Order: sequence, then C-alpha cells, then structure tokens
Amino acid sequence: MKYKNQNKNNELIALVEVLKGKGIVTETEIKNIKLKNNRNDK
Amino acid sequence: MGEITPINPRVIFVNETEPSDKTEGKLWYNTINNSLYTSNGSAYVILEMNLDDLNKQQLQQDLNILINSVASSSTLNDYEDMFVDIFSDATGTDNTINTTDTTAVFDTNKYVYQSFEESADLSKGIAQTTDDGLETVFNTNYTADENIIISEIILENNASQQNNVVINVKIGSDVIATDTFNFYANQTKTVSFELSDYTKIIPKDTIFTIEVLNGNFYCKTGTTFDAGDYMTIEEGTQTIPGSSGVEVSMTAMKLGWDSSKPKLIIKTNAQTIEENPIAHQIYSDNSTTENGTINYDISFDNGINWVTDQSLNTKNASVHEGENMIIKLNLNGTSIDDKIEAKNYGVMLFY
Repeated sequence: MKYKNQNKNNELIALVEVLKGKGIVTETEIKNIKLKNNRNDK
Repeated sequence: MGEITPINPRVIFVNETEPSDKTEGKLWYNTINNSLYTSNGSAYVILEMNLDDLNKQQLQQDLNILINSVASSSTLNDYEDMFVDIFSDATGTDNTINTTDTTAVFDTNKYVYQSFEESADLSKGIAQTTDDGLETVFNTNYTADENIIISEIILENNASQQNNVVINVKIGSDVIATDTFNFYANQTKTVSFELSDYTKIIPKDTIFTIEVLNGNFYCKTGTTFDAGDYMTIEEGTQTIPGSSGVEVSMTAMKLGWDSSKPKLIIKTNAQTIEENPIAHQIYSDNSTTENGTINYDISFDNGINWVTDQSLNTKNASVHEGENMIIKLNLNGTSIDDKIEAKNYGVMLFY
C-alpha cells in the first residue's frame, strides 16, 4: 500500500540541511534529538 | 395464560452423526469436523460466524499503526512516499509478496527463518495377511523425536472410489495441516503440505495424529508401521489400512541447520514508484535471537540491479535509476539456534 507523506516540513528540513552543511550539527546528533523526543512523547 | 413449553434439558448434542431430534433451534456439535450445527426444523445446517468485516477493520488499523511506526523511524520526516504491507497471510494484506520466490517460512502472521534438512521417506504402512474388516477412518498417533514438519503424505487407494476424503495432521484437536479430495480407485494421491499456509512445526516430543476421514479402509490387526528416524509410533489403538484398502506413507522433514540455506528471503512483487529516488529506508517489526540478523536488498529497475545488504532503520543512499521497486528482506542465520521473525515491512523513499 502506498502512502504519501502529508506532514513533510520543508522549511525545517532545509534549515537542518544548512546546519549540517556548515558542520554545526551531525546526522547522529539529529537522530539522538529525535529519539529523545520520541521517549518524551511516551 | 398460554401453555408453557418445558425446556428440554438436552442443550447440545455431541455426536459424530446427525441427531434424529430435529427440533428447530437445537444445537449439534459434530465431533468429526469439530463444527457446530443448528436445526432449522428438518435438518441441521452448519452454524457459521463471518468475521471478515471485523478482520478487515483490524487489518486497516494495523496498516495505519504500521505507517506511524515507519514514519517515526525517519529522522527528519523528509521522505516522500511510503510503501507498507503486513504479513497477515502469505501474500500480505495488500498482496505485495511474491510467494514463488520467497523462501522464508510463513507462520500464522509472520515470516520466519527456518532451515530444513533434506526430506526422506520416513513412514510406510505394511500390510498383514489377516483381514480385520472395514473401517471408515485411518488414525495413527506418533511422537516427534525431532522438531519436524510433515511435508507430504502419500495415499494409495487399492479399493473403490471414495469421495470427500479428508486428511488431517493434528496436535490434540488442533488441525495443523489439512486437505480434502476425491479419491479414485487405484489412484496414488500425494498430499503436499510443504510451506503451505496451514503447515506448522511439530515440536520435539509432541504427540501428533495422522487421520483420514470418509474413506473405506480394509484394516488389519497386528499391522506394523515403520515410523522412520524422526518419529516414533505410539503404543495403543492404531487403525491401519491393509493391502486391499488404502495404504498410507508419508514424508517428514527434520528441522535442522542446512548450510546451503544460510539466508531465507521475503521478496515483494515489483511496485511502481516515482522514478529515481535518491535514498531509501526500511522498517520491519522483527525479532532475532542468537546470531540471526535481518537486512534488505532493494532494486528500482524490476530486479536488474540490486543494492544489497542494507541496514534497517537507516537512510541508505545507494541507488540506481528506475521506477519498479522490489524489496528482499534477508533473514540471515548461522545455526539451528537462530530464530528470526518479521511481521511486516515499510519502505520510505526520498527524492
């Protein structure tokens, strides 16, 4: 079954890409933030 | 005040034949096929409960939960399209599984890694010389000496045509493999259960039963039955066909580590996607023990090129051009102790 992402936040994604490009954050740090948020949701 | 009809204390008939009492509303539990019947006043009709609508609702909910689970495994929620399916049956809820090329074993609601050693003929009925009369069932109990799967049972009909013959493999009253067929005179019938939706593993030291119903078998007393290496025939009452009736033999497969099959796959059919994604990420509700692992291969050009051995829950950027996606979930084992299960998959595509 195909599902189209209806909640994509292009501005946020672009901002993160800029931060990554400037070496301010890394992919691992972004993942850790996401994991922490997920835990807080529960 | 009207006449009060006393309630017949007999609530339900439990019998192998239809009761002569046809009072409307009476219930009959048929011990042959374990089904419940109700009388319409003149005959007993099977009582069926159709749960299709409920099951459909449940599966739709499961798909929505799966979509949420897959999405939450995405770091930035920056995927465009997601393709999901649940292994609620061998073909998947959305029928995306290629059951021809899939080598993992389907079990109830999941695919599992299970390695089988090569099969061998294990059991064969041996007729004696003294005819002991006509029986309508064949029924023999065994103990599994290893973890086994009954892959095939061969019946030889040396008698007249018999219709609606039912063969069951049972653990207690639980039917784990079944088939129904018309059986012609002098026919050899091979019933194959291997990797079917209904076949389950028989654990070591479990007693199981092979039964054949609705046949007319000339049976012998004192018949011996060679049970082979992986099972032992149980002492007690056995009804075994003789040379003038139906002979039964079967093939079982021992579960064991087959080094020629270290990897079993769950493969999807080709699914049309927006062409040329730049990355992919797959989620699968799975469990592994010992040294078992799970990863995936993906193709975007209908199986011509493959990106292999990709990690789950990771945005992987190895791609090639194409618009026909096939996924292979790899269940990788290293020994008989490895257990790997997968219940669903969800792939996110990035552009």
